[in-house]
Formats: sequence, structure tokens, C-alpha cells
Amino acid sequence: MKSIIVFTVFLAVSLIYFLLLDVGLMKMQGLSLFFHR
Amino acid sequence: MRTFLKVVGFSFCVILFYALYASYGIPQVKPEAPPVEEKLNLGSMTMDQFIALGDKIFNGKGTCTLCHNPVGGRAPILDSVASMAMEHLKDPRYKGKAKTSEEYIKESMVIPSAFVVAGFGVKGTNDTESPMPNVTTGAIGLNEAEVDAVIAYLQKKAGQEVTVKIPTGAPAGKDEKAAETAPASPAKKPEELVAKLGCGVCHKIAGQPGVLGPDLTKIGAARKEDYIRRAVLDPDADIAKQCPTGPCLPGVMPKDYKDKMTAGEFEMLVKFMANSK
Amino acid sequence: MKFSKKITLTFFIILFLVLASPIILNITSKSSVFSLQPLSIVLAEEVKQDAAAAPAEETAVKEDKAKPAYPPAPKLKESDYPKVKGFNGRIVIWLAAQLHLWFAAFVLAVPIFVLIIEGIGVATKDERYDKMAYEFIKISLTAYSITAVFGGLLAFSLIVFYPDFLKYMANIFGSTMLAYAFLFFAESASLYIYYYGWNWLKHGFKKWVHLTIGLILNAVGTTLMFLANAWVTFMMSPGGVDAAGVFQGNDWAVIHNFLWNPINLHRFVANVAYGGSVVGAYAAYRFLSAQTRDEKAHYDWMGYTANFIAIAALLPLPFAGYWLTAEIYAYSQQMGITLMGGVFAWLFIIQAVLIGALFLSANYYLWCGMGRSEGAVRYNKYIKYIAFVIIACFLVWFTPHTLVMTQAELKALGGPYHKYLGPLGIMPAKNTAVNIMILFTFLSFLLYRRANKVATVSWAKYGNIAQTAIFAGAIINIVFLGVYYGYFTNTVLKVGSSVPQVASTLSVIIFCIIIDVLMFKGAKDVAPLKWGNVPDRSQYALFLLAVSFTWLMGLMGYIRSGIRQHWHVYAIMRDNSADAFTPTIGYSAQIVSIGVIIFMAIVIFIFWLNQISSKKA
Repeated sequence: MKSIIVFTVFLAVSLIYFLLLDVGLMKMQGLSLFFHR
Repeated sequence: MRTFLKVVGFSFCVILFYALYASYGIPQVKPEAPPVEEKLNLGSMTMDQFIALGDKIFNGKGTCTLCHNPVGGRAPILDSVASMAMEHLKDPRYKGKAKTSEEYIKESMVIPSAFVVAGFGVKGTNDTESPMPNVTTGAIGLNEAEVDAVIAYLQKKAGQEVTVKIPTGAPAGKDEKAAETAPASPAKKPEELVAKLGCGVCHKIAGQPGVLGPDLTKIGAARKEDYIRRAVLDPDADIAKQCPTGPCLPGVMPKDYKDKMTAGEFEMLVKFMANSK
Repeated sequence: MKFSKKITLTFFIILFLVLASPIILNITSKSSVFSLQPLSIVLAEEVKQDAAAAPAEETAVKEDKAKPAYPPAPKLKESDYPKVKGFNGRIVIWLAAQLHLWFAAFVLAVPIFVLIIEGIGVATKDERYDKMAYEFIKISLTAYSITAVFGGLLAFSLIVFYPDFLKYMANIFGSTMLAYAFLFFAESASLYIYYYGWNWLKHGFKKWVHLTIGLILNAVGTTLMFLANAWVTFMMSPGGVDAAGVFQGNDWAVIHNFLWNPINLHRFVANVAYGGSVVGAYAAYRFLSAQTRDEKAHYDWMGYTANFIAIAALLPLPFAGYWLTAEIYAYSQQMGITLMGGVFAWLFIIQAVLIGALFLSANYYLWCGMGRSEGAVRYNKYIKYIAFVIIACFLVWFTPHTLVMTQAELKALGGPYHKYLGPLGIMPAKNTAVNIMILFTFLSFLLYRRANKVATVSWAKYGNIAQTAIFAGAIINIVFLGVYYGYFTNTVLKVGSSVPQVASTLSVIIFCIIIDVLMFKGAKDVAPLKWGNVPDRSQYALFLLAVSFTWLMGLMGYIRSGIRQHWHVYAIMRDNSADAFTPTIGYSAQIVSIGVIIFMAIVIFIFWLNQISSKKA
């Protein structure tokens, strides 16, 4: 049980990290992640 | 030894695999030959021929279809650009100076960022900058006549009236200028040659009124053929004493007439001057 | 630390900074992403300025008259290119340049990892590292003279077959060419002292002197490469000259042209990967011909280390290549599109096959290597999944965008692309595939690393869970980006997704290494690695790696040079020789293959020389 919780937490944290990474890097190129111009 | 042979054999097989795959497993696209500067005989072209030239350039030397094709989606399709032009001119994002569809197309080829069709701008510039180069410079290097031909082709393609005029006597291409020093067909009369070479700019000769250099209308009485030959080919060898405006100066008469005539023309000129008494 | 050691260490660090500072300054002050304008913008601005500034032009003209005049690029005719009976000038230059590059890459790379291995030897006080480093540098010494031979052949061939082009380049790059030649004194001096002084400078303070010489060797070698890179990138993306090719007088502007830094980085990293693979092939060869178990163990270990170096450098390499291509696009859309969307596009499918071979053989070698430890048996069950994923990624990478079809097929499909498989041929899918391949290769490595150990830290289980979660998160992110940008966005914007995908992979590698190192601190070595305990076929994986790498370099070298097409210097000096045409893929592949065979023959000769030099009477 504890393993599943730990896994989920780490997964959630890493997904948030990756989302921020995506947004930040796309912005650096002058684009937004979705619906871009 | 056996190890050596096994290793060599294995390596050779690997290399062979890659060579064969690249030769037979991949479509052998034959790249186009490097573009050749073509001598355009514009004087005798009909509008249809001019449009056909534009077609050839559009699909060839101009490398337009590299980007302007329906496959890659990198640049707008130009089939109806001539009719869309007026709409683009009215667009608030239009930054250029064109007033007609012909001017618009020409401007797009030289200053592509004057107007960027929505969605095709350089990534991150919000469609204010075009990735297209100026087609008259650099790697494409179309000259004035070629640009006009492409415009004519595009106007025809959109079903619009072709407003471009065929340029007359336009130079064939940048590289041809060097070749222009030798004329295409030799002059048949001395007067023709004198006019072609521009002797009359400085000299009175063959009906020309030049007053910068010595009067040559009676040169045959004063000088023999050898002197005349030398005077044309090597002007500073003998400098006449008196010119209409003062003493004659060295280094004034051009020294490259020897490159500008055929032997036959030269002899004709010399004989003409020798007989001008 | 003893006082004298402190001084030498400080001296060493200061020297390193001094030598590295030009490189750091170069990269930070004017990195290509932010500095030199791409061609289209330059030209657009030029025109804007032309339209507005007549008085400005006049002052510019006056300034030009005051400067010394450099000649414009000559306009050559076919007759200006000398012919030598029995030789095709272009093929001679092609092979001379490519062979020079293969050997140069090798002799530049070896000192890099030799220095690192020597440093590891000093830090761990393990004599084996020092011995191995010495053996590596020995191999590179013979290769060094052969590099010079091919360099000379290249220079002579240029003089013979393309004299006017060389004259134009010498006019502009004269000072850098002289600097290049003179620097070889420094390169030779440092290389020979580094090698011949190895045993003399082995202990105490002298070892630090030796390391310093190794550092100088690397600095000089890198500088030499950077100088040569300037000439080559000038031909592709000329800077510092006007539209007629007249040199504007600024040496830095012609050196620091648009593609200079991308090629510097790409070649630096690629050299390390390549050097590792060639040394790996050497170790594999010695392993297969080893007579004793000790010899086998020694060369197995050497092969593993070399492979490790090759893979470690291979992992970030696609990103350096991506940056290079992105800069080519930014410089000239035309060149970029010809490269990947036009006539050169199919070459990248061949590249896919080669890279697939590289990743598969590197992974296969790691899996075979697991057999060295009995502790690896518990991980064997995962191998098939990793193999499956890597093969699937390879298939995606190998899928072309445009299909080769008959007219009837075209009509049936409604176009040259398949609706769902078509997007597998473009960048988002390709990047997804390569990033996943890299991640799973990294996974193979993590499994190998722990094969013989058992972690003793209390949080080991959670450490594993954390690593799994990070991997999972990255894969989800990479696939999401690939699918969204591949199927749902506009063409021009698709390639933007590559950057976050790359960053995801790099993040995983960094975080997982940190966790792994911490997790296995003080771990129990339950089933020690038995060096030499690998099947012979694993050594063939190392040969496959070296040969594929060489062939790949040849192919990419052709693409880089060929993308100029009928220009000696792109858009400035036209190539009007009889061989100015761009050849077909098959033709290029055949020339590259001939080059690889010549290279392999010479390399085997070098390996043999190494063998006989250690033979006693």
C-alpha cells in the first residue's frame, strides 16, 4: 500500500515538473504549449 | 590469423549491407543539375514564351516549389496569389509599398517580410517575419527579367490579366556581362564600328563631332597604317602634340580596344582612317 | 591535504580556467541562438535599410574606399578547374577530407578520455586505470601521424584541383591557416611529452605536471579543431563578407559564423563517442586474440570502459545534431528544407538505420555483459521488454514521411502520405523515438550497474520506486508531446516540441544518476564481476558499433558538405566545375563505403603495429 502511495506521489511530482518544463521551454522559443501562435 | 579474418569478414559484411541498403533500399532521387545561366533572347519572345519561361524558373532555378508546395505546408500555395494580392494589400498587417497585384508579387519576392500570410511566419515572431529569402540575391539570384517572368506566370496561373511587360534588351544574366565585351556580330561598315566603339566621344571621325582628342577626319594624309594601328592598340605609345582643348595627355584614351573588335573590324577601321585624307 | 598538493591543485585549476576561458567566452558572449542574424532576416533588414538610407550608403561607400581592398569571390568557369589524368578531383578531395576527419576525430578524442581516466586513476589510486590510459594514448600516437598524412593529402589536393577556391579562402583565412600550422608544434610537443614522459612523470608532484600536459594537449587539439571548423562552416554559412564575397576585414566575424558553435559542440561530443568506439574495437580485437585468461579479463574491462565512454557521449549527441540542424534552418530556410524535406531527406532514413544499429549493438553489448555477474540473473527478465521498446522506437525512426508509390496507389491513398503512419515520418515522432531509445539504453545501463550489488540503505525500495516514477513521468510527457505536436499542430511549429522532449530525457538521466549513486553508497558486492566472462559475440557488437559509427560519420560528412550543392561558399562563390552536380544517394554511399574500407584497413594496420611493438624478441 505504502509503495503505491509513494509511487503516485513521485509520479505526480514528476508530471508537474515536466509540465512546468514544457511550458517554460516552449515560452523560451516564443510559443505557448497549447493553441500557439 | 583466424580472428583477423573473421573480424575483417564481419566488418566487410556490415559495410556491404549499408552500401547495398543505400543503393537499393532507398529511392534514388536524382538531384537537379546546377542551374546554368541562360542567355535570354528577350527581344524576340512572345508573351506565351515569357510565361513559359516563368513556369520553368518557378519550378527550377527559382527553387520556389521547395517551399511553396502542398506537401510540406511551409509556404502558401501561390496558385491564386495574383488575385489574392489586392486583399493582402488591404490587410492591416501589410507593411509594404505596393499598389497593384504585380507590385505586390514583386515586393513579396524581394522583401518577403512586407506581408506574412497568417501561420507561415518564423516560429516565435507572431507572423511578422518571413523565413523566405530575397530571391534576387544569394543562392537563388534571379535577375530582373527572370523575376518579371515569374510574375507573369503567376498572373496567368491565377487567371488574371498579365500586366508585366517583357523587358527589352535586358542583360541575359550576371555572368554574361563579362562575355559582352566581344560583340555578337561584327560591324560591316566603318561608320558602324566607329559608332559602336564610341570613338566620336572624343574624336572627329566618320561624321562624329568629338572635340577632346585629335581630329581624325584627315588622319590618312598625316600618318601611315602602322602608326594608326599602334595608335588604336597602344594609345600611349605615340601621343599627338596638340588636342583641341590643349596639349594631349597620356593615359586618357582607353587601352582595351584590342578586346573590343574582331581582326576584320580592326583592319577595316585602319584602312578607313588611312584613306581619310 | 599537503601544502605542495594544494599548490599544484590550485595551479592546475587556474590553468584549466585559463585554457577554457576562450571557449566559455565564445559560447556565452555570442551564442549562435542570440547573435548572428539568420540570412532571411539579414536580407530583409538590408532591404529595409536600403529603402530608407541613401545618405547612409554614401558614408558607407566612403568608408569602403578607405579600407584595404580584398578581392570579391572569383567567378570561375569549368576551364578554371585543373584536371589530372586518371583522377576525379572531387572524389580525391572527398576521400582525403573524410579520412582526415576520421583519424583527426580519433586523435582528438583519445586524449580527452585518457586524461579523465588518468584522473580517475589518481583519485582512486588504482593502478589499472593508469595502465589503461597509457595503452589508449599509445594507440593514438600512430594514428596521429596518419592524420597528418591525410591532412597533407587534402591540402595538396585542394591546391591541385581547386586552386582558385583555395586562393580565395587563403585571402580571408590566411592568418588562421598560419595559426593552425604553428599550433601543430604545440600539439606534437604536448602529445609526445605526454606519451614518452608517462613513466617518468608518474608519481607525486610530477603526476600533476603530467596531467597538466594532458590538459594542454586537449586545449591545443580542441583549438585546432575549432580553427578548421571555421573554414568549413564559413563555406556553409558565410559571415564577415559582403554579398560579392569581399572580406570585411574582421577575422572574428568570419570565424564566428552562424554554424561555427553548433559544429564545434557536435564535433567535440561526437569525437568522444567515436574515439570510444574505435578503442572499443581495438579492445574487442585483442580480446578475441587473447591467449590467457588474464589477457582476456584485461581486454574485456578495456572494451567495457571504451563502450561506456562511447555510449555516455552518444546519449547527448542527438541534441547537438538537432541544434546544428536547427541553426541551419535558422540561417537559411532553403538550405534547411533541402536538407530534411528535399533532395537530402532520404539520407536521414539511412541515418536512422545506422543509429538503430548503434543503439541496438550498444544495448546488446550491455546485456551480454550482464553475464559477468551471477547477480544479474534477477534482471534478465526485463531485457526482453527493453529490447522490444528499442526495436519499436527504431521502426518509428526508420519510417519515412513520403511513401514511394505508383500512380494507382497514390490515388487509392489520396496523397503521398498515410493518414496515421505519415506523421511518424516527421520530427515529433522521430524525437519521441530517439528520446525513448536513449531512456531505455540508460535503463539498460542502470540495470547493468546494479547487477553485482545489493543496496544497503534503508530507503532502497523507495529509491527504486522514485526512479520508476520519474521514468514513467518522462515517458508520458515525451509521448504526449510527440502525439500532440505530431498530429494536432501546424507544420512550422512542430519542431518546437523537440526541446522539452530533450530536456525531459536529460532530467531523467540526471535525477536517476543522483538517486542511484546515493542508493548504492556502501552497497554489498554480492556477485563480483568476472572480467573476461563474456561470449565472443559481444565483441562483435563492439565491431558493429565501430564500423557503423564510421559509416555514419562518412554519411553525415557527405550531407554536411553536399548541402552546399553547387556552391563552394554558399550564395557567395559558385562551383562551376564539371563535378558540381549533387550525386545520387547510392553513389555517395558507395564512395563512403570505399572510404570506410580504407579507414578500417589502416586502423587494423595500426592495431597490428601496437601488437608487434609489445612483442619481445
